[in-house]
Amino acid sequence: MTLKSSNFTLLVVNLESESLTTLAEELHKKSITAPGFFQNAPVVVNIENAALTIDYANMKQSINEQGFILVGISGDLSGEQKELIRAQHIAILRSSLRQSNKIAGAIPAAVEPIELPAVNEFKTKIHTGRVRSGQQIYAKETDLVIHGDVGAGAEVIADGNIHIYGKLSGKALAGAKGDKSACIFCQALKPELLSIAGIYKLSDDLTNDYVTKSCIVSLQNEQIVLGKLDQI
Amino acid sequence: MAKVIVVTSGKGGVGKTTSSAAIGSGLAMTGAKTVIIDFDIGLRNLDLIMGCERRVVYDFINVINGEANLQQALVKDKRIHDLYILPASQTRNKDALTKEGVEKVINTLKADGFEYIICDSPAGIEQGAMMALYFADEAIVTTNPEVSSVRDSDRITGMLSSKSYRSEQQLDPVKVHLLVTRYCPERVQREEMLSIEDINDLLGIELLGVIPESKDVLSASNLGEPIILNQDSDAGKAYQDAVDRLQGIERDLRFVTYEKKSFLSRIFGG
Repeated sequence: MTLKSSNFTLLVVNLESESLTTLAEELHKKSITAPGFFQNAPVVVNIENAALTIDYANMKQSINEQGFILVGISGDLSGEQKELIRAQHIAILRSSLRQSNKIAGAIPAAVEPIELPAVNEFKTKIHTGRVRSGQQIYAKETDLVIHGDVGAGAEVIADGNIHIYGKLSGKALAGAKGDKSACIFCQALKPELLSIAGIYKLSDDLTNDYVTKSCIVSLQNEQIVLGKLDQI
Repeated sequence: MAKVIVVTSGKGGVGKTTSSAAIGSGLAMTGAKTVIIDFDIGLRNLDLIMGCERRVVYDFINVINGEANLQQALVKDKRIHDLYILPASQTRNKDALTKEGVEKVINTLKADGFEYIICDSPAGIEQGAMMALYFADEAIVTTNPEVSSVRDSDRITGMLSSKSYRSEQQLDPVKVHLLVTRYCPERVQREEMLSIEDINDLLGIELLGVIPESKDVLSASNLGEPIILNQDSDAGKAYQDAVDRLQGIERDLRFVTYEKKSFLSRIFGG
């Protein structure tokens, strides 16, 4: 077992009033944009007004009810607020931005250990071997590396980029959650379908110049664009 | 150590049963006690190809359901001493196959000293085919040199690596062999048919054998004689090569190149 620090990207909600119903509404609006995605998503509440008196136990519960998990509270908190927060066993987080602003004389606040997603969840997913017809490989919230061919009728999907060290004869879908900067790299291109952030091209639409060549596939002006991997 | 070998393909009509019969017979001829199990419940064919259809009393499903014991259901081949057939039921469907039932039968066969247990899979990727491949140690994926057959073989190979007992228990993966049947070098040369290289490119499976297209296969099936018994036929010889390779004996590929017959040899049949 090793202990080390690591950075995570978390959803932060700015709380401007004492009304917990407004908070619940905001979270609900967010969650219905992508129902599955925000299920049990970690969330941080940021409080900039030291004068607010909030029922932290109620806040934690209403966040849970919206399907989120409260990992901590950050912001410009008064001593009284901090005490109340700690009493509910909620962590107080210091954002890195704040830290750099107030670096002089800042006293490190005691941060309770909180449960964060394992680091490995965001590590690039590597698949070794041929992906056969009917198989589907999905890299959630990360990049996907395929060390082998992707056969016709097979699907490789990633929320990030896709790298294929082999021939792509099946479907490749990068940026599956809408990341338009995602790319597909592959050593030999003969795909059934290429998609980035939901915009796709079928093999029929591909010009022959790129077929069976090593390629980079990217999105430019909402269009799938192919380029040769050895020409920058 | 007993080996369970599934003969499978995904697609129908590519020669699974013919190959099961030929390879099973070939293995039994080496003196190894061999059984061929017909997993095609409801579409029983293996008994016809093996010419033992008149001697079927009980079947695989009877054994699974405990209505007969294994010894009663096994049909001994009349030509080859160490060869047995376990026929499929014709009156039932594939849902009658259960994992527990199949496991029980395979374990009983192993305990009875069978060295090779050949599972003749039905077409498709449903219950019957899944049960046939589940307990396999090795697989012979049968493919015709055409695109749809190759794609189905790719699919079933993926299943072997994800849906078998070996994959679920994270043991060594099922060893997959490729058997190309109905190969016609002349048509390959005319680019009407996929070549061995094309198939290898698409599947990337180690090649066990290439069986040339031959009229002898159909007549052998109709006679109920496994084609491997006809060593005058190219197909019979090619199956023999495949059986040898399966046992680790090296054999050069035969019948894969087309040589145009000269005028004289056409006349004199040389």
